[in-house]
Amino acid sequence: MGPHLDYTFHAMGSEVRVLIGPRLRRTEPSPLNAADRERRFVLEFARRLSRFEPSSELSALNRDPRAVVPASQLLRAAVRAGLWAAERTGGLVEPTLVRALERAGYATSLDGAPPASLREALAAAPARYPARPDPRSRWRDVTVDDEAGTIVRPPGVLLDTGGTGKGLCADAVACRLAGYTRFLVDCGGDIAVGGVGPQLEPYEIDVEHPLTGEVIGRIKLDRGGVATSGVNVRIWQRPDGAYAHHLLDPSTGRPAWTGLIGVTAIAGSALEAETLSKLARLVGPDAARRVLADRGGVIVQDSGEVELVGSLVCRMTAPARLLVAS
Amino acid sequence: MATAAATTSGKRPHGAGPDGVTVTLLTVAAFLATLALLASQMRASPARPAHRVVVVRRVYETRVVETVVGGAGGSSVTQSVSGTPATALAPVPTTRSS
Repeated sequence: MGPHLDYTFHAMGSEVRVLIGPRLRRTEPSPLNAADRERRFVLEFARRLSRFEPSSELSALNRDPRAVVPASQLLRAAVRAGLWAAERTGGLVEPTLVRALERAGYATSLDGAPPASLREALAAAPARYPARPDPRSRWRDVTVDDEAGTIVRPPGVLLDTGGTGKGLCADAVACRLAGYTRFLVDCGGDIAVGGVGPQLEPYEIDVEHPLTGEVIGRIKLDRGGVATSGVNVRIWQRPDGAYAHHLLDPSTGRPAWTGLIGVTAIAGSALEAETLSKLARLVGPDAARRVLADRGGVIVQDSGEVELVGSLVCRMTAPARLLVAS
Repeated sequence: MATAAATTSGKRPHGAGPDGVTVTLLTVAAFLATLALLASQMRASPARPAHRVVVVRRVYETRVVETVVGGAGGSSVTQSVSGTPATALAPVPTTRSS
C-alpha cells in the first residue's frame, strides 16, 4: 500500500482519524502538514456547528429572531446537507428535531459520558415499530440561499446539523485531500475514501458489533463512503428511569425502537452513507433490506443477529448469525 | 706529472661511490622488481571489480506520538507517522456508531 500517514485526534465527541498517502504534486504540503491542517479544519467545523456551544454559528442562527439570517458558507453547507438528508429520506432523517432531542434528554453534549447499558435498554424498550416522518415538520420551510448568503426559516424553528455533520465533515476533508494518491477520513465511524490508490488496492474497513464491540466483518472500499448508525453510544437513562437514545421517530419525537440496533451502509459519499444507515435503522428490518439493497450493508437486529444485505463485499470475521447471550 | 696524467684520463678516484652505470642498473633493477611485485599482486586478484560496500538504510517505521491533554476544546491529539502500510502498523479503520 506504500507509505501512509496515520493521524488521530478527538473532535465532535468522537475519534477522528485521517490516513494520507503520498502527495501527487510536490506543491502539496507533506501528509503530516496536511493532516495538521485538516485537524484544525475539523475542530473549527465542530466549534462553529455545535448546538451545545452558545457561541457557535448554529446557536446564533437558532437564537436569531429574523426569518432571513445571514450565514457563513460552512453553516449554509451544513444546513443544506441536513435538508438534503430530509429530502432523501422522505423526512425521516431531518434537522428540525432539536426540541424533541432536548425533551428526550439530549440537551448537552454527551462527550465522555459513559453510555447506558444497551441490553438493559432493549429489555425495557417499548414494542418495536418502524419510525414515520412527521407531516407537520417544518424542515420543508427551510431554504438556503447561497447567492444572498442567507438561511431562510420560520423564526423559532431550531436546526441541528449533527445528524449529518460527521458524514459531511468526512466528505469535506476528503475533498481537501484530493492532491494525495490515497486517503481515508474517519469521523467517528463515518468514513470517506478517495484517491487513485484505493481503486487499485481498496481500504479494508472493519464493522463493529453494537452490542459486543467485536469486529463482525471487514469491508473493502475503493471509493465513496461507509457509515454506521446505532444506538449503543448516544444512549442514556432519564431521571424517570426510561432509556433514551438520539435517533428519534419524527412522528412522535421519541427515541425510535425499530428492532434494529445498528446498520452499516455503503454509498457514494460519507454523507449519503450516514443518511442511508440512519434511514435503514429507522424503518426497521424489512424496509432496511430494501434501503441497503443497492450498495449493500450490514444490519444488526435487537437480538444481536447480524445480516449482510445486497452485494456487499464483506468478509465476515464472526458468525453471521451472532446470537447474544442473555 | 704522472698524477696529473691519471686525473686527466677520466678515472674516478678509489672510494668516491658507485659509478653512473651501477646506479642506473640498480635503479632499473629496483623498478623491475617493483613492477614484478605489482604484477604478481594483480594476478592474485584477476580483473575483479573493486569490492565496494554500499550501505542502504531505509527507515521502515517512524512513529511520532503526541498527546495534548486539556488543549483547545479539550481535545487530545495522537499522531502516528509510518513509512510502512498503515494496516501493518495501526488497527484497521472501523465503522461504528458514534
